[in-house]
Amino acid sequence: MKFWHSRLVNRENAGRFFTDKQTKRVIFGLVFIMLTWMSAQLIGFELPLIFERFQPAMQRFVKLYFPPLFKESFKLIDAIWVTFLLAVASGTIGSFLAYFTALAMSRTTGKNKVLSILVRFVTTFIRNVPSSIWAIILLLAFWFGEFLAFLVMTLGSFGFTARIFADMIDETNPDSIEALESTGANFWQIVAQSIFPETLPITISWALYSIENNIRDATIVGILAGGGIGHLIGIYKNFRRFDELAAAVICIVVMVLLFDQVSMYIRKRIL
Amino acid sequence: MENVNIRTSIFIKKKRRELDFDSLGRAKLRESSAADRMVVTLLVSFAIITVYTVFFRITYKWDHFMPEKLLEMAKGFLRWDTIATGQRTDMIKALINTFALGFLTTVIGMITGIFVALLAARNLTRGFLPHMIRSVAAFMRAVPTIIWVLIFVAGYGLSATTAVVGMYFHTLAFFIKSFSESFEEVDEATIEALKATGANWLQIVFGAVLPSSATRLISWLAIRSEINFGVAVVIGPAVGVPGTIGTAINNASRGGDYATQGFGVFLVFLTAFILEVLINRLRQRSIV
Amino acid sequence: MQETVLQTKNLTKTYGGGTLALKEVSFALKKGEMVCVIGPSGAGKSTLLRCINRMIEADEGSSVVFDGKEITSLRKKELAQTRREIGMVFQHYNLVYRLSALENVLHGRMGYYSTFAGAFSLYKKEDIERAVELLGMLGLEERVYFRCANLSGGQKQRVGIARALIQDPKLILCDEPIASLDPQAAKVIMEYLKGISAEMGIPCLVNLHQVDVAKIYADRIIGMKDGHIVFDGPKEELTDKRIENIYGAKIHEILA
Repeated sequence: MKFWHSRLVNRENAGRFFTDKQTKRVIFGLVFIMLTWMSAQLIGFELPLIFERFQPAMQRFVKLYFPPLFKESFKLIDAIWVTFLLAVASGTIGSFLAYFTALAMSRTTGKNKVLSILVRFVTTFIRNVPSSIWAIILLLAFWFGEFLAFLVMTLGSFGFTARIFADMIDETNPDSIEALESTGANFWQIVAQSIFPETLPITISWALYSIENNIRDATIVGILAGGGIGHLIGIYKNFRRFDELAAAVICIVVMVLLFDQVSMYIRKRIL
Repeated sequence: MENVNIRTSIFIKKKRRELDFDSLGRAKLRESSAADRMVVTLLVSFAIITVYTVFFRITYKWDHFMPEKLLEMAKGFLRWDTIATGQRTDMIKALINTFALGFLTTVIGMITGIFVALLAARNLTRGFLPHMIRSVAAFMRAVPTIIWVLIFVAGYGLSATTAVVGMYFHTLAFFIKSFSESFEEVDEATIEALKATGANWLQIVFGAVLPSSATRLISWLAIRSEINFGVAVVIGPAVGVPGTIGTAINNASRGGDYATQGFGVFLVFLTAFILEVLINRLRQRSIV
Repeated sequence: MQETVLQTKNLTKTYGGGTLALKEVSFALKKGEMVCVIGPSGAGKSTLLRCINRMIEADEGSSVVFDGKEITSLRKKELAQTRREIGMVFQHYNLVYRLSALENVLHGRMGYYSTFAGAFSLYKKEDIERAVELLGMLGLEERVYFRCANLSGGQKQRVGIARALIQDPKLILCDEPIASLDPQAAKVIMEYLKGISAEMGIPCLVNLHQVDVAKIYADRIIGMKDGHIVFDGPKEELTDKRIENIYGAKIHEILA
């Protein structure tokens, strides 16, 4: 319908088979397909293999991982607890620092142009280097363990929330800032009395989200950097104790689902 | 009009109202709502957990702390002139491999994801199916990507194909969630109008739902490409998928070759940054 | 006559891109006077108001003398101190909606607190008492602890007025205070502003869209067009002819 309608309106294009937009779409689609095919060739992707060897693969998998073995349950519970603590602490500190960074970055509050650009550069770098790479780099200087995991997660939370908070402050209604300025309030008073109360619920909601991410990331960070359930999973993997690994995975899945529910509930209540 | 000048004062002059005080003896400033109390509770508990974790739980190994390594890395970070040409091309190849891995997974995830998401959208599919698919997807998302990869490595052995399949499940779950939500945002009136003309399900999907949610789908696709690039970087060092940039950086790092390490990190940063800029442009366009 | 509170001379403002918003605007405001500024949108009313307390910086060569001080040459700290004595009421109320009416009123005292005390809401008891009293005077006694988000438009604007009044201002600037209100609430707000100038002796400079409202409440009316003052005199002298000159349209078109 829409298609014919546009043809009728666009008399100039009526005779042509493709409108410009359509040509663009077709080219875009072809490039897309080619890129996909090239990617598959490059990494040697073999789809048939998956179906051919499906049955023996599943048998092997079930044999290795099932039934899950909760052998060191005390260790597991402790590791999950540490993961939770690390995720919350790094999410909190990361978001806290990010809030101040965002104040410098935002168009509404960042009056100092040099500082704003500098901060933008640093946060862009931190955000766009994946946490696994941070783990690899920092491992050399900080040694394997909970502190390194904490550091890596804090960097992740910081990079992620700094940008979101800056956007959030940009989108906050600047009217009340103007009013406070007109009464003679200074910068920090305006931040504390206007920007902070208006953005607090959204800030907390994003901080919760970054904690959620931290918990999801805990496995990989733990394998690479140590600390929490990920560390345990790394050990089980290296020593091929797959039935215990399955138990640890069940723990982390339960934790992720649980925390999702809790944070969803909190978000509903505070927003 | 005339009474403006001779009227009595409009201001209410009454006996001064007594202030209310809170439990700490300070003058009350506002009626605290349930949401306010929840926010305060959250802030306090976050603070307590953080203080406990940082000061009483984490074990610090300061005797192993080597700030000089950080300094060395910083010094070596942009010294690409010291890298052998072969290593440089190897690193770039690894980057392309990694990107291809992420891209392929994203494409396969998207193609299958669209169909499953159509069945998971509540405005397109009635009954219990949407709820069921969403629950399964939520579970798939809760299992960390790296675990999916490990599971398939156990079955198929270590190869790029295994890595794609492992990454695929998380990607699929992501697309089911985001796509079905995008489909649900399609204006109900558009669908009703097509239904009124007697269009069937497929005609509704291809005539109304897909075209009007296309920009959103593309923007989700771009976001997942970025995520999957990050995942593809990760699975190298964590599982040992050969030929990915994560592995290459890890090797350089362990070998103390900080210039090569820095070069790799820079490549990863650059790719992620370009993807981010592209996504931002897409998002801005979809708003307009 | 009474003493002059505000005197502007050659107030000019050019925005980036060369748009001339104000051109050599000169007028005086006396104690207890209620002056309404009327004119079509884009005439520079809003810019004029904001140039007085330097929310917008006027061009070089402009002069704004408030309470014997030349505002345009004040430094940052002195400016903040001077702003404490100029209340401002806005079209969109400019309240922090997640805070209570009382907290918003107390924002008017912010310039008198240290950064720390202000940021953490450590207000003096007498300020809180005064804020509650002002809200009571404006008929908001029952709404003192309410969140501003839950107030009606008229109530929000009364909070805005209370915030200006708690400053103990020597001048109140009102930028379209009734433009977002229904007629009933608008009448109440205008009565309050009239009361502030007549009873409390605080001069009010009010930007208005509605000529008829200006004619009821103003002591004096300033008509602006394209950044110029084209009329300045008692409301009785504002004839239909002059209104047509200000708005560049026939009188029945304006009031329709």
